[in-house]
Amino acid sequence: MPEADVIRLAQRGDPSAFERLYRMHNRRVYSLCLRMVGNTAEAEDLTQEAFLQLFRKISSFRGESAFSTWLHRLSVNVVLMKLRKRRMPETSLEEATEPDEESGGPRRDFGTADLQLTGSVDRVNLQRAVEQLPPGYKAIFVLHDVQGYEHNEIAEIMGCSIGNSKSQLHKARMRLRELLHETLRSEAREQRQAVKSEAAGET
Amino acid sequence: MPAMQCNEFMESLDQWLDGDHRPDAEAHLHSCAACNGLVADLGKIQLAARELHDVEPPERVWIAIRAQLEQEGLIASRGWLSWLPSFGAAWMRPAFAGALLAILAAGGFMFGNQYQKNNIRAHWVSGNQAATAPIEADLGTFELHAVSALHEPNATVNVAFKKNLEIVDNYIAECEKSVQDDPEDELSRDYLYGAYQQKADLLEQMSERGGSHQ
Repeated sequence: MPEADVIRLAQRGDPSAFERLYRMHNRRVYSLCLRMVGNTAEAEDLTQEAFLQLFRKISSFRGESAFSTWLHRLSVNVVLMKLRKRRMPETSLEEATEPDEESGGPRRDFGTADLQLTGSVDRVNLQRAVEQLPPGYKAIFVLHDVQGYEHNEIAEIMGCSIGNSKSQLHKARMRLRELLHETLRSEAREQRQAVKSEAAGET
Repeated sequence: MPAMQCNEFMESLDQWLDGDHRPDAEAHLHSCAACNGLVADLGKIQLAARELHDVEPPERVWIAIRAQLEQEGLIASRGWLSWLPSFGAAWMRPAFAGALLAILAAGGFMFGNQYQKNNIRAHWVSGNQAATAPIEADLGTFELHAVSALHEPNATVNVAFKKNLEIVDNYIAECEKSVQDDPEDELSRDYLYGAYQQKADLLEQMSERGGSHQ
């Protein structure tokens, strides 16, 4: 059955239509919540809240935007509200995108070994880094780079301009790179420490 | 044409990442280790991000949503069926599915008993959901009344009731065992809760039938 028909049935209160809509979109909504909060229990609560809001408001859906966009806007708002309540420490945007003073290019790290992330990026490390992003960056990064939405869709979901979506994504990626470098540096430090301790133990 | 500088490359970075590889940007990347490293890193981040696949939420999310919708009156309650998962769902466990189908085949207890259900729900919510003794005690008392209310114990309908009761009891035992084996498994607890609801429904019908013959 086409989605538009299922929506019409749900608007009339058909319980099976509610369930069908849930089954059609639950993976995307749950994954969005999970990537943004990084915790399954919270992601479940947020998914539940997003769908409840959706079903409570479904009679007001007139089809001006795509249903999935509407649902995602609701879901992102639910997650952002939650994150704002948590009062996460905001990261300075300038710090993440501060250009190199001399060339205006990307800030250089100390030592050539740090210039580039070695090997592929571990998904667990990436998820941890995403969790440390400020809420707005996080939402745009997850929507664009993880879920594959285009900037015009994100602009509609987030209620911002396309230019704003692009600029936030750029800042999010730069900040992520920095966070991943920090992870690598701290792992390298721990390894050096372990080698030193081992050597000290042998002597 | 003068060579591209880092700040100019930074301005076209997003186009580069989107696949728009201008020759001057490409030339800059060949000559600038910092920008080259940045592009390589961002490419790796994009790749890893695409590998974060969508995940299926646990079934309890839908169960909770449906319960809330029923409570708010947005959808009609389906009686005890509303507490059970949809038939044909891929995640349904074969052993439970078999037991459920047997119960449905036996049929005959589709009506609700709000009082007993509320009682069970109250116990379920107030307890730790592993201690089922209060619920079983409630059902035990109710069963005594329901069975004693049945007149003509050998009448075909009454025999069917008792047979159904046996099936539900077996189902409850199976669900309880599953909860004991893994007390943290929410799905098993949901099934057990559904099983108690079924028994309450059946006993209510037995009582009603007994009452109607008095």
